[in-house]
Amino acid sequence: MQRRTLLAAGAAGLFAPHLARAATWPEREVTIIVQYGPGGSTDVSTRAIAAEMEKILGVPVQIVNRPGGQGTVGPQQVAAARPDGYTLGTTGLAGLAIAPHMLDVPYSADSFAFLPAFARYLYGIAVRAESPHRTLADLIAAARAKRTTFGATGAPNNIGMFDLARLTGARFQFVPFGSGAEAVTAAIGGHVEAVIQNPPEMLPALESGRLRLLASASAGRWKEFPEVPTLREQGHEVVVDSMIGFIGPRGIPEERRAVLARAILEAAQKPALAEILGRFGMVPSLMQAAEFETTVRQAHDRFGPQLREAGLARKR
Amino acid sequence: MMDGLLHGFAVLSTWQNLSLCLLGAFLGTLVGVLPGLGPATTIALLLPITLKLDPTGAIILLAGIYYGVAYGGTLTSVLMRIPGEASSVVTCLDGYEMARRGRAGAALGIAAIGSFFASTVGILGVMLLSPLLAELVIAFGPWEYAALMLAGLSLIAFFAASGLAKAALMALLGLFLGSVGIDPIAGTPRFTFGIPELVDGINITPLALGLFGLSELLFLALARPGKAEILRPPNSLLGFLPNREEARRSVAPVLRGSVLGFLVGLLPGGGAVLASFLSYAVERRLTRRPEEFGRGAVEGVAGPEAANNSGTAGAFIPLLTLGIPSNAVTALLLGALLIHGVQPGPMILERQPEIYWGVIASMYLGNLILLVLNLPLVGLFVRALEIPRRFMAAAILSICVIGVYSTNLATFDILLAVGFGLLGFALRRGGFDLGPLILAYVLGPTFERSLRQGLLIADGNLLELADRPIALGFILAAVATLAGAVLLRNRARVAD
Repeated sequence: MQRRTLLAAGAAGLFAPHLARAATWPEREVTIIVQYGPGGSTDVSTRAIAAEMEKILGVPVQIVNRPGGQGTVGPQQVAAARPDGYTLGTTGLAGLAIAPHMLDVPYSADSFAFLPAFARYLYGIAVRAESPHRTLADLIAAARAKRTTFGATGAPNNIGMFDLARLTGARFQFVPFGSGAEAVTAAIGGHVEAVIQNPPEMLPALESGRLRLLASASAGRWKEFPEVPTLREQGHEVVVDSMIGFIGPRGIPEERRAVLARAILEAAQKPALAEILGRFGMVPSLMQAAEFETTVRQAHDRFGPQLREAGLARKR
Repeated sequence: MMDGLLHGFAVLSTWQNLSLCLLGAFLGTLVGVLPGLGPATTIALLLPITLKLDPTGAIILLAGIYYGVAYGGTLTSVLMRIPGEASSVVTCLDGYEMARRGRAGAALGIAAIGSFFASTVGILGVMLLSPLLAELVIAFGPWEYAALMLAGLSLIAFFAASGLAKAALMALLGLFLGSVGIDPIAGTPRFTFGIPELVDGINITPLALGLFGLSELLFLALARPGKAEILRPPNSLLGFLPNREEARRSVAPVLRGSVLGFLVGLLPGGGAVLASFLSYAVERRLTRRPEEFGRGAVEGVAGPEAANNSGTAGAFIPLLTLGIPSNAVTALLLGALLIHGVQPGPMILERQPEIYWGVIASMYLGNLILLVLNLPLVGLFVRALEIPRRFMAAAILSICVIGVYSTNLATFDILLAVGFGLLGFALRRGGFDLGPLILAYVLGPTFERSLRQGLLIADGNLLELADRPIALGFILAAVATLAGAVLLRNRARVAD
């Protein structure tokens, strides 16, 4: 009897602090799984926002790199983690909306609890300096007359060009490259006629005048080239978009999700983050969790048929 | 130019930058020595830490690790037939045989001196020829890559000590192993048998450590205890140095390796690994003593070890002047520069000359440090041969396993290494030469990707090649090489 009272008292003693601090969740470190190795844009931007979240949440936020499986190992581990809000991941369309069409992955959008997204990638279409195409209209006109090659790493870049081809009756031939740098080099050398990639690999060549930017393929213009209009501004309803956002395993308690979402949104507005993102060709861009989830699901459903049509997806 | 270099040395001559240069070179040697632990893993680990440094210091440290590795990787290749680094895999073939003949010190000495010479050539090349060579990189399109790789593959014919059929069989196996993973054009997986770990392809670390290292340990385990201890170091100090004959035979391979390695290092997808293999193949083609290759030919150490160092230096040209990383490690260096707000590219000389010249000056100093660090250590390391090899083998095995695991934190890679160890053992017992396998594995993926890119661009029309003199030149070289190999073989047969 006495022992039982003691036990009860002990148990109460153990749980009481928990109850008292329930409002101040989290109470230990949060781990963020990054789907690529250190040094790339996903890793660096995650580290930058994690540094801010650490101050807001008041607990350490540690980064764990889980590269592999073309960026699908990371989300896989997030999906399999305990849904207590202590294990999160950062990812974008590559892992959630594109890879599932190419590889056999054990997850889908249903495996995750979505949190806000905080940054977008920029895309641009360029030709080499010696190219006869001065404008996007020139390039499209040439591609109507004759099959025209472009270099890119893969989706969603190539899908933007497929969209453009469908809308204008142009014939663009996609030539895949292993990295953005290789695609850009091939365009400078005239081995492919155009390239659609991100600012980090394109900027050195654009600024030295070896490449000419014909259009921003994103929703907005590039800050380095404010005079170059977007595809939309040039009359084509095509936007290439990809973002980085947070996901967790499905089933994270609602109030914890709210705490995390608030922290992410607040951290995403720090100027230090914008600075780091800019160096990797991204722009800060807040997306509420629900919007991020809708975007991922819609992109997934749209990319599937397009990739299959181009012979770039696994057979079902 | 001299102003720039002086400026670079001025940048370097702060206590912080000097010690970072020393630290980088030291860490690089260490990483090179430890099998499995590679520069990419190390730089990735250190990257977050360098955020606390200024950009010049950070890049000096990381670059030091990168070029230091090419020095350290030789050691275990020569002493244990276990490649310390992917770029020293090919050194296992003849370096280890030299050690078995009691010439371990000579092999390591030649490698260190050849490395220093080649690095100097490489740095001079970076300094004097950067703008010119950047143009060469751009002139290389898919057809040129495909043709270059074809020329490289044709050199396999000269590996055929075990017979042309056996060499071809090994090359096919190597091509197959290289094709596991993602189809480079379609982007979908192939030959992965539903194993998610295979989606990224077979990594060179478990492959090389297994085929060369673990298979050797198996041989060691099977040998009679007394016999397994025959590797003995030379007993006099002079014995550590290459003798006159070895030095004389090394001069030409070092020169050729330096130039070849530098050029291959420039190319995206090239770098030190490819450079060392091509140099080995070229030496094997040019030698007047083909019978010695695979049995401890000093040319087979001198050439590749020079090539992997100048290849490392060469890779800095596209990185710094075009902002184009040519391999996984320079991609990490690019990331490090971007994190620090440095955008490499044609404008770097105007905008941030202190970084450009700081790195070049640090490479001069770093290589000197590496020579001073490595040459006296040769004597010390060769002493390790006195440790009974059955004890050594156990230690090496554990280091290998840790190294393989550390690359991707994947236990699957350990299983892979063990599998390749057994395969390597079986193949060597069957009289197969592993050289063609690993060469085809390294060259095959670039060949396939480039060829398919070229065909996409040309819409399947091979006649496009007619407009491509560089590519045609390589293809002719490949044909001539194959014809030469067949002729030599026939002549040898007649002579018999």
